[in-house]
Amino acid sequence: MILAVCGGKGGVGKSTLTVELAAALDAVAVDSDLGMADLPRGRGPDLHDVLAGRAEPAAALRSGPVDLLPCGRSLAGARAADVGRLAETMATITEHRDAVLDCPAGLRADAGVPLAVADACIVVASPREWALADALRTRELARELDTGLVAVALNRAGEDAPQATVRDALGAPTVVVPTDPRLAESLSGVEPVVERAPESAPGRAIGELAAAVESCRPYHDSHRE
Amino acid sequence: SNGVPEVGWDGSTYETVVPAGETEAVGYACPLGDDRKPTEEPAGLDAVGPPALVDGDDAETDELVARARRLGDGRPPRDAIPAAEPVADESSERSEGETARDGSGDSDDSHDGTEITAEDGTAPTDGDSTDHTATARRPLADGICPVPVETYLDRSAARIRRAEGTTDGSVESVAAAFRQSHHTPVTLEQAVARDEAALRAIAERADELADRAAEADVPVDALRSLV
Repeated sequence: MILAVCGGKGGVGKSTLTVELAAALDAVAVDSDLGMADLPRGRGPDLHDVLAGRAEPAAALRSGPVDLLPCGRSLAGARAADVGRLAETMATITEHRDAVLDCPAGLRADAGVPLAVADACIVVASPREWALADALRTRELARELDTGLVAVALNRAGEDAPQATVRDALGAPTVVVPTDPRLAESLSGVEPVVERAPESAPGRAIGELAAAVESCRPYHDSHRE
Repeated sequence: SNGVPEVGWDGSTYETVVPAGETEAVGYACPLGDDRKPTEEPAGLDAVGPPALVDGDDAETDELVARARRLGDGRPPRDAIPAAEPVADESSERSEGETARDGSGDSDDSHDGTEITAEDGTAPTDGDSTDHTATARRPLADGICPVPVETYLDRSAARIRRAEGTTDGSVESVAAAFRQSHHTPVTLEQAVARDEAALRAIAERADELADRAAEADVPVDALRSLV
């Protein structure tokens, strides 16, 4: 199963939630934001190399608290990467494992192809008004690309987060993910919050999102003996 | 032209959301042929099961990817990548020229997302501008070329703020800030020094371009009849 974590605006927390959801789902976190990668990179081949035909997907996988397929940071790498190869890359990676894709912001091919490749998506929105419009546009793009919306993550939300408004506007269960300094560390390579503090408010929110994803697995997956 | 279409009907399909635990009724009319049977099958059962995760086949994925690619190229434009190498043409851009040159050398900045040297032999601007003079293609100091300018400026500002913050606050707060930021004092100092050099080079080039923009004079009236 391939889950895309998307949202029209930059900075709403897609990368952090990608890592946390990958942990909760025991999946590989893939940084498919080819132009502005965020997941910890380390050394060795990365997704830029894979999409330019310079490396095999397996060579770019990194194990850690969450297993990652990171992306390069250079403009040249982004320019040379053929995003159209993402489908075959993901088919190889997900033969035995699920994957969570960190999508770029925006509405162009770099955002669309990961959505097209994914089976389902989670839209990350911030509680601000402008973010809701972007979330709606992303939802529309996902619909255009036949990628079902499993849930909305209303991220960095305070107590009066407009959960019902977002749920009604986007037509999907909406989980409020509270602001929490521990989430800021998820991209540093430490253990994700959902594993080290599953009973905390952010831990439970991630768990709720993961449960929504699990409930959408095809019958043949969940009814396997 | 007959009545008001129901919300969710787009002229050929109807889509609705059925809240969990509830039902939705859909009624439709369809034309009958002379044999009093519908001229085409008006409705069929397509898929039943949990939403979203129906395994599509490869051909379907390919079609969706093709649709996504039509949204427009999301890559950085060619002329955002400095020509640190002799220019190469389009066909060789993706060949061995790319191999060892993914500019990922700055491992200490990998979490800042500092966009670092990009050293491929790219061709000059491909029609985005007609100016191929040396000044238009001169790379910035040290070959460092910022990603979309605003993003680079924001990140640079964040690093500078962090550096400024090292002289405020208590020892505990400064130490905690370093623990969170993946920089050591030495690498932060180096990063900010690089920022200074890059920002001065950007300012110089921006000034020069602004002057040229001020001078550039398109003879609108004369050209109006051409386009």
